[in-house]
Amino acid sequence: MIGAAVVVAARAGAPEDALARWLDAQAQLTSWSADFVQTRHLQALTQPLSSPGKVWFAAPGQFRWEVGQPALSIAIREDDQLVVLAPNLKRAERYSLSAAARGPMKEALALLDTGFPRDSDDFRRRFDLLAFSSTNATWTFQLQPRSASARKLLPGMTLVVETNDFTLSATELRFADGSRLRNDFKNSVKNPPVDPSLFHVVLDDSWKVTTPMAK
Amino acid sequence: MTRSRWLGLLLLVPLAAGLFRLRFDADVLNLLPADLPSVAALQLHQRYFANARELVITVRGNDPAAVTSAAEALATRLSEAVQLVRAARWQAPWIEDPSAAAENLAWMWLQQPPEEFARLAARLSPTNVDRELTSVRETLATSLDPDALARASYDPLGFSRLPSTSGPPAGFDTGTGIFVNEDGTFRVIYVDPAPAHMNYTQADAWLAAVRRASTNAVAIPALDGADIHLGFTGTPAFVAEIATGMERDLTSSVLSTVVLIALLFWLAHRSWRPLGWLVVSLGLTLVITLALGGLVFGTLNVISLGFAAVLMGLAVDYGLVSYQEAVAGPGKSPAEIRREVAHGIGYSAVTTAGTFLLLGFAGLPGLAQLGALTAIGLLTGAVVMLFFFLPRVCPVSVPASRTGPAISPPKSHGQWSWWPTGIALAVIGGVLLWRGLPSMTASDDPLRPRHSPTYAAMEDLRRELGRTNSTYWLLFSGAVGDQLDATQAALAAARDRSEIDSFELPTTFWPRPRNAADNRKGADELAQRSTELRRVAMAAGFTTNSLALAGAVLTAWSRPEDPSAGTWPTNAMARFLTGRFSARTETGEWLALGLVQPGPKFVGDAAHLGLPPGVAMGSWDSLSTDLAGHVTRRVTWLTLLIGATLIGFLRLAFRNWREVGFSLAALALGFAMLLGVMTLAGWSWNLLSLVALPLLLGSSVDSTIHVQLALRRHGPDRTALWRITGKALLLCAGANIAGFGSLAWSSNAGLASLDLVCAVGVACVFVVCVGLLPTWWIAAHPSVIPPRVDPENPSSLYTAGLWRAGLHLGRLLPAAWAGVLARAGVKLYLRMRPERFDIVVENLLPFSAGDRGQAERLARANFEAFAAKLVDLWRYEAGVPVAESVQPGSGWDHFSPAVASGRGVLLVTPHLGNWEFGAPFLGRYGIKPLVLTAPEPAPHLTRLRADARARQGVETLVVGEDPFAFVEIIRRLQDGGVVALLIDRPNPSTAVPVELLGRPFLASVAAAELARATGCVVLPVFIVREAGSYRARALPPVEYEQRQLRDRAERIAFTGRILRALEPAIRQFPDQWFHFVPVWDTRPPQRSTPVAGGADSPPH
Repeated sequence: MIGAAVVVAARAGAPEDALARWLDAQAQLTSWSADFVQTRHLQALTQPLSSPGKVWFAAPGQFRWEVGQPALSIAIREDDQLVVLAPNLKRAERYSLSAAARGPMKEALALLDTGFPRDSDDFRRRFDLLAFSSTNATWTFQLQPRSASARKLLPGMTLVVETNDFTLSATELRFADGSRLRNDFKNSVKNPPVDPSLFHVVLDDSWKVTTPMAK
Repeated sequence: MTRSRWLGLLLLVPLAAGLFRLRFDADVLNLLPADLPSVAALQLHQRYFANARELVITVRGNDPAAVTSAAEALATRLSEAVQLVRAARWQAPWIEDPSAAAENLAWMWLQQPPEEFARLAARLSPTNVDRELTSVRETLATSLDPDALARASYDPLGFSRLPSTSGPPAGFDTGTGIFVNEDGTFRVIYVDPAPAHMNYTQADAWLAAVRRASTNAVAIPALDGADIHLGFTGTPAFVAEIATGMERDLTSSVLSTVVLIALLFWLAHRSWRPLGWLVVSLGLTLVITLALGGLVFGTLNVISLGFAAVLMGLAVDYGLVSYQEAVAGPGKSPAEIRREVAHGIGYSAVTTAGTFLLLGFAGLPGLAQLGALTAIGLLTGAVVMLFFFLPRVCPVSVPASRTGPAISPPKSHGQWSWWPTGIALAVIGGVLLWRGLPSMTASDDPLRPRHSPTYAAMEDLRRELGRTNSTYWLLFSGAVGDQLDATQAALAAARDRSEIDSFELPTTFWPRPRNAADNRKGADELAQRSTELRRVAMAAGFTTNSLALAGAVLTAWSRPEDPSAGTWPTNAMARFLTGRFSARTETGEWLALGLVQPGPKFVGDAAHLGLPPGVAMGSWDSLSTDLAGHVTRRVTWLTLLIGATLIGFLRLAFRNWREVGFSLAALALGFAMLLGVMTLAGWSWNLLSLVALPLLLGSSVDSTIHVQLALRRHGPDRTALWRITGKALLLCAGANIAGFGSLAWSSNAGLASLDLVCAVGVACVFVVCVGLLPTWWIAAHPSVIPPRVDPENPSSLYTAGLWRAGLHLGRLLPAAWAGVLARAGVKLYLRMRPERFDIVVENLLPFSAGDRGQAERLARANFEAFAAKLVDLWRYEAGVPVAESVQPGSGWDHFSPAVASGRGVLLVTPHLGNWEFGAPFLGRYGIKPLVLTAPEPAPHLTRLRADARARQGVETLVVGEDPFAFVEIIRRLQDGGVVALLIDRPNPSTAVPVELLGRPFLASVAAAELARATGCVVLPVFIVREAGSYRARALPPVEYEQRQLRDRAERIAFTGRILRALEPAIRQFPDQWFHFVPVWDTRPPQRSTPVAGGADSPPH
């Protein structure tokens, strides 16, 4: 294989430099969209499950994930809350991401926007870079949440970035029970015009809305 | 043994039984009124759901992993200490034994309504199960909900999706909310003590051992630097902490009260023997009261124990009164003393006990018990003091110097000024306007222990596990199953209306025997399809692990029907869970517990939420609000009730409304002063301290009665008032303050605040009663006030200090300014001393032929002229030359021949004009007269004035000081010298009756005596102010035959002639005839000693 992977953890400074360059590039993004294939390796199933989907991001922190085509599950970050929709069940769950909501759920949900960091310092406060590898085409960052509570649910994650334009090409989340969730992105577009309504949740009375983390 | 001793021993039996029965109740909720719904709910919760035996240990740290390790190590260590702990649970039982979860799930499905079970059966029917599994795979592939993913992973057939729950059913979570907080930095260990029963001392020792074991358990290398903090709470911890605190309070408050009372008694009586018996009597009172309390109540609560110190402070009054009476009647027998004091002590004990009994209406059972105990103690104390203390201290043999002087101390009417009242009103008003009234704290904090680590741990626990003071408990009793169903529907609707945020009900875990029987057939059919369902699921890609739960549920259903179906499963997890939300009363009734988190539109009303009957609802917040309203209402009524009763008592005591008004005013001002102190100290009212109002009202009214009755007896005699009543009140108030104040450091915040307010309140009322009330009373009873001026004695203003101040005034200020000031001073004086004005009016009545109005005008002119004279005199004595301001007036040509006669000249003058100016006037003619004066009121003043005259070259002879002065005067006259003498204000020893203005008048016979002795010329003179300057006038000498003056009658007649000679001048200048004492007195002279009265003293 040309450009075989080289573990560069021993090369002091290189992984941090690479991460810094990607973080800088991400900070320049105003919007981003991509198609993806989500692959879930679950302990409950003998075979992995794959689903197509689409994702939109708009600075500073809005995103919309649609899993399934047509979408069977949608996650939207709107202001300080995450709304998870199950359109076929007409069910919506609202999770507050504010300081008032504590615990691993908030940390885990916050990870949904991990691929779109805007603040390098904030990113480093939340994650430790455990390992780094690169090929001619990609950099791979192995990350671990700094928060112990977040680690309880999500012990680690991987980001794969294309080296030519620092586009995010894949993410992989590893859960405590051994399950894995991988997103492989394609058709990504930097700074496209994005309809703001994509990040705005409007639900009529037919939806059953709950706030599971509310106390 | 006598019969009475046998009787005494017999009484010991119930007392011993009472003491044996005595227990301490550490439950705060038992202090509260059970008729309040919120209290009833919380009491049920505490009684049946808080696990009366369980100790709760909290473990806090920064690192969840370290906290988990610490909790596990601690639970393991405690579990090994079998002599201490029966069980220590640190994580959810379903984590330790997952199979139990499946058994419970199977049981819960059986309890579901048959239609719900039918839906499950339909979902898993052969025709639908594939579609069901496809749907689950779809969820697993696409869901972003972590909970949904987890449940689908481990339960693809959906057995954990019970219809009535939105989240995971009880037993299928991680224990969050019971064993651990959301971020894992706080864990809870539930400890079941090994001892079956522990009293509070055993609980204290047990807790100490558990603490040691726990601390050692986490002191392991693996946790070094983990910063682990342990907390201990739960019933054993509360019992140990509160009960030992109660014991400490009782001991320390009683001891400190007794010490303070002993100190007060010692200061008052300085006698050891009665002091010792008083302390013994107080101890006896306390023990008997405790025993009676044990007999009546059995259990004493944390508040009621405060009775002890309060009782000490009040009961000691009976001992003090008895002993005071014994001291006042040395030699009297106990029976005699008892006869004298029993009525008063009995009346006081009954009324005070009645007041305390009224605390039963305050709406707080804890306080009602305190009131009842104090009432029992007061009656006991009265009996003990009369029948135990008195016989041991009587008869008293007290030295006369202590029993009270044979000669009464001089009366001191002093100054009963309004200034202190004015200052008190101004200060209190200012403080209250500045800082406002003390606020009302509605929280239930006063009911809790202060500085309580156990409560802090409990609060920590609640907070971390998502329970706040606003969390509502729902208590179900009766038809619990039906209530749960109805409540489930009502709360779901309330949540949709945003009235509540969430709720937790044990609906799915409540036995429904009928449903279980109906569902049994369907469950059997599903169990029979176990293998088929497993095959289908595996074909859909699910692993065997993911089917473990389903397999266990189906296996549970496949077992033979349990004859006890309808009750809960018996596994450890089920026992743990049911212990959290269900309980059975002593009567066999089932209770269930639910929780509600209020939402933004919550109104706090069970009926509004649509809860069915029989469901009680309460929270700590609602408890505070309900209690505040409840207590405020009760205290208001109680205060009005006591107030009305007291007004009746006061009316009976005084039999007039004015003194009743004074009592109420004194109490009102005392309370206002209390409010001021509270405001300055930053105190607020709370549920308990509010009760101080009626308590103070009842216990302080005595002071207002005692003071006013003493005023009736002693009038305004300050000395008598203080010596007899004030000191007694001080002793009683001191004892009360000691009693109340000793609880200011109580471990119970409410009790401490109540007693602190009472102590300050007693002090305030005492200050008002002794310091201010007498002034009000005396102002309303002017008839009891003796004249404030004594015409026979010099004015209290005629002092060296004020005279010196006058000299400075004369020296520093221009005459006009000094005159203005002097006139203002005189006007002020007339306002302060109207009696003196009346005296002058009486003196001047002959000048107006009895016309009082004219005499009053004359008197005013007289005072003003005296002001002008004073200024001139001060200027003169201060060294300002005045000789030139005196001019010779009519008749002065008589002076030179008189001097030239060589017989010596005796200048006689009345208190007319400014006679002091005669000396400097004569100095102009080279004549230095000898001025005769009487001693001034104080030696210092006499010296001051003599020195001033000496500086002007005037020779003064103070007649009263020198026994040989008369010799010197005669010698001076015989040498042809000039002597000046005032004739119209004689010393009683020289006074002789003459006539002036047609009225009997006392004049000095000294002039006649000197004439007889020397044959001198007696020349009447006077210096008056005319048209802005002084005129020295002389009258023709008063002729006499020296030989005839050997006869006393002749000397008196000669004195009369001198006065008659001067009468026209006095008639001409009545406004300058300065007499401020009654002059028309007709006392006969006792001796004939020629002494002239110098009288420049200002009016008295």
